[in-house]
Amino acid sequence: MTRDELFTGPNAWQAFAAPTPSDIDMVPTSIEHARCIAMKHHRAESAKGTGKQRAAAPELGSKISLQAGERRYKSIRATLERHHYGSYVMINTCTGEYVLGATTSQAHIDFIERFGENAPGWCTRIGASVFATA
Amino acid sequence: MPQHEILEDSVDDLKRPLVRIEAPGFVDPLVAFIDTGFNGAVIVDAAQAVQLGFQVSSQFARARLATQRDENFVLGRGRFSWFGEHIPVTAYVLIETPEERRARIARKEEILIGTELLASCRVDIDFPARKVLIMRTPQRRP
Repeated sequence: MTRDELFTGPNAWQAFAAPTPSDIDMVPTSIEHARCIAMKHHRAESAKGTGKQRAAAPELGSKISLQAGERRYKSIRATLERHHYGSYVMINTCTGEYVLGATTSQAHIDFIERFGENAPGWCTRIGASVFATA
Repeated sequence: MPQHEILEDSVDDLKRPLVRIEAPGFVDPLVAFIDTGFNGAVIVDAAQAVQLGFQVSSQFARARLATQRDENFVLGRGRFSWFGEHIPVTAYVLIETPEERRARIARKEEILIGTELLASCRVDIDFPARKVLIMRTPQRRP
């Protein structure tokens, strides 16, 4: 199974086992790997929950595309900068829809409420960058 | 001002202002470096995100580093202990290889806090005295 296959197909999420103690020390080696870790933890959380939560898991199979987020942002950038300069936009990279927020946390909450926690998203600050000195 | 509205700590030997924060999952307090150049809430690595109980998501964010290089982070949703409250925040989770992590000399208890958390605070940093004082402004909590 390739990494891509981990995120596609109806049985994709079944490939993931519950997180083990070794996952604590696991660091992503790529964006796909990071998603793999995220999926493992999501699966474990879903397994604790209801059937409804479990049914939602295959949505994770949709492949995220950072490039899709950037492309979509470029297409709406001018409008966003005119009306929402300095706010944060989070784009659903599957549908192209987006939410806005005054902070990353607000945009993220609204995104999850609207599209679900497994929807692939990409966030940036409008006009000005999110600065990080990590 | 009530004690729980103030965080008091220090500037370390490398002149980095910090506050120590008790967090579930960590034996020792987290050393949270105050990074006014970061306009998110918290930056953690993947191991810290898991240990803090953050739900690492399928969402990513792009940020610009001081080098002007753009970097993508995974976003993680969870609660962070801030002024004694467990507030919901989105963390920027580092995406790094084991080699990068080693090169960073990662310490499991060190994180960065940014201006999203500090937006409702007054921050006094006295470098000569090596003292840090963060006071929460009651009317403007995050």
